[in-house]
Amino acid sequence: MSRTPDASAPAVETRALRRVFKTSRGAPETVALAGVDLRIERGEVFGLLGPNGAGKTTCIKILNTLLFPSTGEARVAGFDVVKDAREVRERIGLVSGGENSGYGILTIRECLWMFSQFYGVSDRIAKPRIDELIRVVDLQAIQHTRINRLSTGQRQRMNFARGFVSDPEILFLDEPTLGMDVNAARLLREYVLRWVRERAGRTVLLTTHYMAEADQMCDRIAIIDRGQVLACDTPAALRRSVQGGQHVELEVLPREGVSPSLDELDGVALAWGAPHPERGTLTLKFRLPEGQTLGESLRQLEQRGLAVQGVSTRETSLEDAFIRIVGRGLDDAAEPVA
Amino acid sequence: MAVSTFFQRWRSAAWLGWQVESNWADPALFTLYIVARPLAVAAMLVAMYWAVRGRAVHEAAFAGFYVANAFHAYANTVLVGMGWVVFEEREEFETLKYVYTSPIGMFTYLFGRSMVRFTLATISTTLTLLMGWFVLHIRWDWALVRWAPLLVTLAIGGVAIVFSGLLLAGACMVMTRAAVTTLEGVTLALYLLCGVIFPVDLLPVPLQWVSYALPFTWWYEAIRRFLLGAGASQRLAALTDMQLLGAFALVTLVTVIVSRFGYERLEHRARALGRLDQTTLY
Repeated sequence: MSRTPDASAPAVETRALRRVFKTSRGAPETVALAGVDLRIERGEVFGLLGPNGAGKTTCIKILNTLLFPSTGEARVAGFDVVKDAREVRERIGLVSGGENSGYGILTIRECLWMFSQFYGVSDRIAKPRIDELIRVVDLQAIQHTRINRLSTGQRQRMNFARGFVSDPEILFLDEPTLGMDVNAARLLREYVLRWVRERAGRTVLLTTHYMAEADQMCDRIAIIDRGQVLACDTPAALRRSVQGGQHVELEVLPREGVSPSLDELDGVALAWGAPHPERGTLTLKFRLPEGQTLGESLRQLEQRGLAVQGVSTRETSLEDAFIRIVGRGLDDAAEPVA
Repeated sequence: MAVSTFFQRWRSAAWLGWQVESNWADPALFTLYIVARPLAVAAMLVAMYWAVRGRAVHEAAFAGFYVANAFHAYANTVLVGMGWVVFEEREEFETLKYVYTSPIGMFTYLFGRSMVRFTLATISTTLTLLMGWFVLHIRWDWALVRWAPLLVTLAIGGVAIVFSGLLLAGACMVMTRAAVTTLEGVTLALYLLCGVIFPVDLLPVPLQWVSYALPFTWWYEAIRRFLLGAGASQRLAALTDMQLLGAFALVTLVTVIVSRFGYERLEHRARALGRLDQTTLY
């Protein structure tokens, strides 16, 4: 019998959560999580934001009882994921994006019904819920089509619906919109927000690559990199942490023998560059400290032989906060240039 | 968990098993498959026996092997099938992680999924026995069949098959690509070790002890004795009916305990290694 959950317990809580993957043949072990402390309250949409290999999916796997932590503690709905895995599974749902999973021989509707039965949802509740979810993911016209005939995007939308079919207390969305078209992703983001607001105490833990998605959806965001939480706050507070001064993007044309580094520009603490091989240029993003003029920076660049092709300034974004905190952008290849 | 919830989950897993097993072909082809496969296996056995012993297919010994071979369909289909479910879910459908993180529980799920295979094995066994009866004249005297011990034997055998399958499913969770060859190996090893087509007395002594530790050795021997009137092993023939059933029950009980704890350890290991959602066929 299912145990009564502690209503005051946070939805998710981890303490010094660490996961090390041992490798064979003497290769060095990989530290996927290096002591993660998180506390996610009930009713929150919480984002884990980080580049590839940051530890987001490992964290989700541990919380979903798919993987043991090496050390540390993780609790979901007040239950320990190691000792009380059955209790945890009664209360969670999982959606992983960017994959092709599914029983090819079942139709969309059959698959959703079957998972509702695995969760013990009665037919009386399951059938209208499946109707609604199929409508939300816009698969009504093909709801009786076998999964092996669906496109990747359609499969993803079906998997998204599957995550909601049990109306879980805590829903884990691991890159749920990865590979979806823009319109479908927008509709699903809106549905997640509506689902959380309309049902008291429902919690979503979202991992994403998309800054805008995290910014739009999350009440709080933890920025994670190399297995460590580097910052955790509301998107507004994270943005405020880098406010003051202008955010500048320059497109520069590097000259042979001249490094496109900004480290010699007065007052520029950190910048991030992304090359455009097709144009042969480099986009440099940096924050100009208060009191410093952009004209002075441009003059310094031109004196170093770098031709500035374009200039734009804008409001502080979550990406600015991310770059300041992590030291690079979400793109793996991107590294700090200053 | 309430009984009704258990039944709801088990039934849906059984329903999925039926969909997976039956929907890959049109009904006519599927029917042909479930009829042709066991008959082909039986025909192979007959051919092998003819090659070795001449045309003496009416011999009592052959009848014993033929019947055991018919019942071996349960080990081939249900026991090995439980391992296949894990492998197929993880590698082909990529759904094992969603099933595993749902509250259905792997035992309920595997038990449910194996129900269709159990039905298919029953059809296979029945067809093989019918072929034996009508084509090869492998017959028994219905008046001499000892129904009570036979039914007990079949029931204990069912438990042994399900729990052995659970252990194999646990092993498949830990194994990567090697699971495919392991599953094929288990089928052949059981065929060899459990006295399906020759008496276990012919095995080397160390292998005989392995054979006696397997519940299927006792199962086939008990089925032969209670259905046909005589077993295949001279050593086991010295046991009374109660001793034979008692030994079978004891070995099955040990199998249940070993499988239960073994499965838990293997599942724990798979979770520790991160194998539950790892696709290893590429």
